[in-house]
Order: sequence, then structure tokens, then C-alpha cells
Amino acid sequence: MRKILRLIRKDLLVEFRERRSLFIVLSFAISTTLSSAIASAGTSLGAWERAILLWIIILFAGIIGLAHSFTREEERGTSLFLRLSSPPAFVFFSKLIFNICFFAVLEAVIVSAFVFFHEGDVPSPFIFITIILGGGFALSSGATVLSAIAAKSAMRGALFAVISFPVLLPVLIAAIRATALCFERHDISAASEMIFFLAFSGALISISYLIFPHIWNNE
Amino acid sequence: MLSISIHANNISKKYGNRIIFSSINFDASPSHPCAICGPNGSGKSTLLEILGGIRRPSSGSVRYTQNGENIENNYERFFGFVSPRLRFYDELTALETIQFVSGGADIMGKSVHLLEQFGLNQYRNLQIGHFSTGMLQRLKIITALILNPPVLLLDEPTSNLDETGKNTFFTLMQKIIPHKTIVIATNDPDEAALCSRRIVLGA
Repeated sequence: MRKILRLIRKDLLVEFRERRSLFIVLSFAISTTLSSAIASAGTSLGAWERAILLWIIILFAGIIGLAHSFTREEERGTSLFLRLSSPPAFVFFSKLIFNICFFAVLEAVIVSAFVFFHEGDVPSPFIFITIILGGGFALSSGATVLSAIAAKSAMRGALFAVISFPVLLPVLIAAIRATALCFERHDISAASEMIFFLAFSGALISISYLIFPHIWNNE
Repeated sequence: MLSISIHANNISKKYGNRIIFSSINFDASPSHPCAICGPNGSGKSTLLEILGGIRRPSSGSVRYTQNGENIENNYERFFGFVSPRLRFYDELTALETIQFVSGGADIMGKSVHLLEQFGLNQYRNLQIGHFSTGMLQRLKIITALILNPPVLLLDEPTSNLDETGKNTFFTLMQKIIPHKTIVIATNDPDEAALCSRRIVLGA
């Protein structure tokens, strides 16, 4: 665990000292939330419209950051150094944990801005937050290994967009559905989507753990 | 100190239909450093990376042995590596980079000693993005040595070094050659002169 924490610390230092990608992601999140609020001013959005809008903002802002995790290592040529310094399993879990935490922070910013600007009430804050975090956890779990696969390709950004869409679509649909149900006060139905998020994440993390060394050590 | 030997058995490498080198056989062991020489594009760096398990050979195999017993995969833990392909994180300082390589081992004293030896101690808290190529090369040598690995794989280790840096490197190498298995990919006569054996590629 200490070795994984060392890798996470490295990613944190690099991310916060570079600042550029963090700034891009946060500015995208704030500007899209604000734009959607201004565009829909005076209109009363329904539960489903609000849920769709919220998750599209979360998905696109988050994907920019998640795609970055392995792509940066390849683009800046640091992947060889990382590969020689740490076993593949440690690299995978450190990136996964970093991405999950990064996504959670991003969600906190987006959801706060969304609730503030759209002035929508959230009937069950606890279930709502659980759904947001669960959906983010599932999206980060999927996007981490996809980012590693895409990073090894010459067309990194384009490939990530293409391969992430079919894999992450079920999570997005489930997250939108759960959030809309939560807005409609159907808390039990909404909470049941958590089982899907956990099952999806568990399956994907297990598969990713098995295939990651082959992806990572590919020349 | 572990005593590890490297055995290259009939190694070939090709990219597409282009054969870079073929049928390379040699052994490297402590006190018998080995130089890989050859013109540009002859595959010196590729062969060195194959020895470290960083690249796969098209055919043949590499074995690491300890007292004649085969060691299984994950050779990374046994060797220090210097290469032009090795890039550090620009945002980390020299000391943070060394600590990262050390994996949490208590290396503060040794870090300071090596940083002083290579004239980098005053820059240890400077981010690597501000380093010159010569300073980076010194740092690469330090990171290769910090954990005292039994094997050193060095690709043009003195490139970009000034005379002081080269002298420090050669003095240090004279001390450690008897205790480590060293393979150097080079065209530099001084680096090659450290080695008792030469493998010439593209000849």
C-alpha cells in the first residue's frame, strides 16, 4: 500500500504543479454548468432533463481528465521511467485510485455549481450524493484501463473517445436513470442502481488488473 | 551484495522485414563489464533494452542468474538503467525523483552523498524542468546507482557530461566494476575502455 501511495503522491505533485489540465477540466465544468443554466433560464426543467444535463457535463469534464492519466506518461516519455520504477499492478491501482478521487472532487464542483445555478431541489441528498459518487466510481474504473489502452496508440485522444463510448454508455444510462428517479423522489429504485455501479466497477477492475501488465509492458 | 550474471542466448531483433541484429550470444558477469558497440542504427540501445526486459527479442532469450540459478522475470528490481530514452517528471525536484526511485527506502544519506559527488546537491530542490541536459544526465546516473543494484545497463552514460562529470563517472565506475555486472552501449572510446569485452553490432 505504501508503494501505491508513493505513486499517488507523485501524480498529485505533477498534477498540481503543472496545473494546466486541472485548470482546463475545472473551467470546462464551470463554464458548461453556467452556460446551461443561462440557456435554460426561466424554463422549468423536468427531473429527466436535469439528470441528463448533469451527467453529460460530468462525463465530458471527467473524461478530459481521465484520458489524461496515461496519455501524459506516453506523450512526455515518462512511461519508461515509471515502468522501471514500479510493478504494473501498483501503477494500475495508483492511477485508478487517483482517477476515482479526481472524479469525486470534480463531481463535487460540478454538482455544487449545478444545484446552485439550476436552483433545483434535491429531495434525498444522501441518496443523490451516493448515486453521483457511485456513477463516478464506475466511470473512473472503466476509463482508467481504456486510457492505458488508448495511450499506447498513435491516435490517443481519438481512440479513447471511440473505445470509451460503448464501454461507459451503460454506466451513463444507469446514472441518468438513477439521478432522475432520485429527483422524482423514487429513492428505493434510485438506490438500486448502486448495485449495477458496484458490479460494473468490480468486473471492470478485475479484468483491468489481469490485462493491464500486457498493455503496460507493450513496446 | 547480490552477484547476478546476464546470459544472452541467440538474440535477434527485426522490425518488419528489417533485421537489426541476429544471433547475439554473450555473458556478462561482475568484474567483466561488456561494451556493445556499433554504428548508429545498429541496435545497441535495442539490445540493451532487451537485456533489461524492456523490449522483447524477435527470437532468442535473456536469462539472469544468481550463483548459477535462474532468476524469474521482473528483472527491473536488479538493474540500474541510464538511457537517452529515460525521461523524468519535469515537475518533480531532483530529490523527489530520487526518493520516488527508492520506493520508500531510507536513502537520504546516500542521496545527498551522490548528489554532492555529481555536483547536484545545491540543485536538489529545483524542479527537473529547469535542469540542463548535462544535469539531467548526472541525475540519471544517480537514480541508476541509488539502490545499489547488482546490474547496471548504461546507454551512452557520459553523453552531455562535461569533463568534471565524466571524471566523476569514470572514477566511480573503476570502484564498482569488480562488484557489479555492467553492460554499456556506446561509441565513446573512453566508455568502451572500461569494458573487458566488446560486442560489435552491424559489423
